[in-house]
Amino acid sequence: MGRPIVITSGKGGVGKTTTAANLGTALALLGQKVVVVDADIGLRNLDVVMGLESRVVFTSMDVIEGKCDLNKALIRDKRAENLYILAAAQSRNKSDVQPEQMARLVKELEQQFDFVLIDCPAGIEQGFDNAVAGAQEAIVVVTPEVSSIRDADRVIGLLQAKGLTEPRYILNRYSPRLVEQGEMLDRSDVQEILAIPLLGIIPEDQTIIASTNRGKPLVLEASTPAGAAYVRIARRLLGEEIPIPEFREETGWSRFFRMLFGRG
Amino acid sequence: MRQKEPILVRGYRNGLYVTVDDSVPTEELADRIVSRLARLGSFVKGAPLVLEVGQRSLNDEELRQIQKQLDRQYGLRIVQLVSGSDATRSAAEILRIRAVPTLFDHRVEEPPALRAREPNTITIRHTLRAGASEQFLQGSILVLGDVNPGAELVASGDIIVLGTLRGVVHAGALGDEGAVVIALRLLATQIRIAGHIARSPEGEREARPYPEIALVEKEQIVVRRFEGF
Ligand SMILES: Nc1ncnc2c1ncn2[C@@H]1O[C@H](COP(=O)(O)OP(=O)(O)O)[C@@H](O)[C@H]1O
Ligand SMILES: [Mg+2]
Repeated sequence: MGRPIVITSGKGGVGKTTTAANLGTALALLGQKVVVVDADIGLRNLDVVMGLESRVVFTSMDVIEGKCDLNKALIRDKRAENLYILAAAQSRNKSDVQPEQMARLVKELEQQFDFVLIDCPAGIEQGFDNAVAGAQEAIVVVTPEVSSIRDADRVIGLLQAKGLTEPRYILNRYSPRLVEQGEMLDRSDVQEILAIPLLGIIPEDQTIIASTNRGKPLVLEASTPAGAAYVRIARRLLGEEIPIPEFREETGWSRFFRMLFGRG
Repeated sequence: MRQKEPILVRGYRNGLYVTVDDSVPTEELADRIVSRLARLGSFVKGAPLVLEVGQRSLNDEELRQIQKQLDRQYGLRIVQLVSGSDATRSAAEILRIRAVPTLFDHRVEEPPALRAREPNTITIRHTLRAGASEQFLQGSILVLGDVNPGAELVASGDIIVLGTLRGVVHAGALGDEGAVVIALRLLATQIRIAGHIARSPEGEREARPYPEIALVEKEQIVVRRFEGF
């Protein structure tokens, strides 16, 4: 039986889809059979971020409405063995799906996959209820901003009320330089409010934006700080004990040595 | 001697019990209740309301108007009407509001603050996260956890937080100026006690390493180290 995990945040634009794509790919590269489900009906973009847009024929909506078989709607990502995505319908509304239908769909996916990652839409309305319906675990993505933390906190309360396993969080777009300058909240400030386990920290990394535009998840590229961080998170999900490093601003010299010796 | 209030508000079964003296004209009744509640702070909202209107006679249209206005401004639902008039009680029945001649024996002269601070306390045994909201109008609230930013607590009595208080709290929400707010780490966004408001200073205040108490002194809220009463 696979692990259905919802990736959520409350606030939009904090990195849910980026996380779903990279974590899914990283888990697949580590030998897991993975499906990433886009639950953002009407605003789908997981397929775009993963560069699979042109391959979408059927969506989860077609499966739910019985218009096609689940296996026909699953899109295989050729860049990693055992990585699939299930796209969301573009021209439909979040209210066209009921939580029970999503729960049934996820149950079916659990039979075939080790991991079912569910990319949740922003907000706490029906789209959220749908995305959470089949999940047993939750990853909350948060950036070190007051508004993101506020929404994450709210979502954690809702997840706990729904009785999911204790959610864990990923702190995304962390910039040690800004923290040192006192312009960004420190990781301990975030931890103090959220008070749930930290699954990992993804540094602010401009290469993420380029990889998103190219439709190629970062973890597939040569080592970058954010890509490496996603791989570490994937290993933690598999039960490995990997400490969370202290992120430091990369100086010109350390970048030089990293490129010279291929270490990061 | 305090002047006799024509409108009394007190906590009752986690709602409000509002008594309107016969001297208040019917046309002004809803307005006067609203302004009385406004003086208590706008936090008391969405509460079930028991309304006692004395001997006056109201028809169903008048009652509907009152109901509408209270709902629009405070989200208050009249759940029960206490009236000595047969006509008023039948008007209530038309609107499907339960009506009784007397609810219990009470004295209208009693200052509301004394009744508001009843010897009840509810305990919340977890952290209140953003979006959480608890209202208790029959006494005090004790939280065994934190109150995060974006959470709000309203009590007719005291609010005591055995954790970090960062949200918004209103103690003495029915007018009890003697109510207090105590927290192990007091970093509230906003503290209200009865009709007074104190905001956290711009930029986050550093938490003191000791418990603090907020109370009303000389018509304003002061915060100081808590060393027992
Ligand atoms: N660690 C990061 N560093 C830099 N940019 C990031 C990072 N994480 C996400 N982004 C960018 O933020 C934007 C929103 O990300 P996305 O994953 O679509 O958010 P969501 O799904 O939560 O709305 C994208 O342009 C993405 O490239
Ligand atoms: Mg998204």
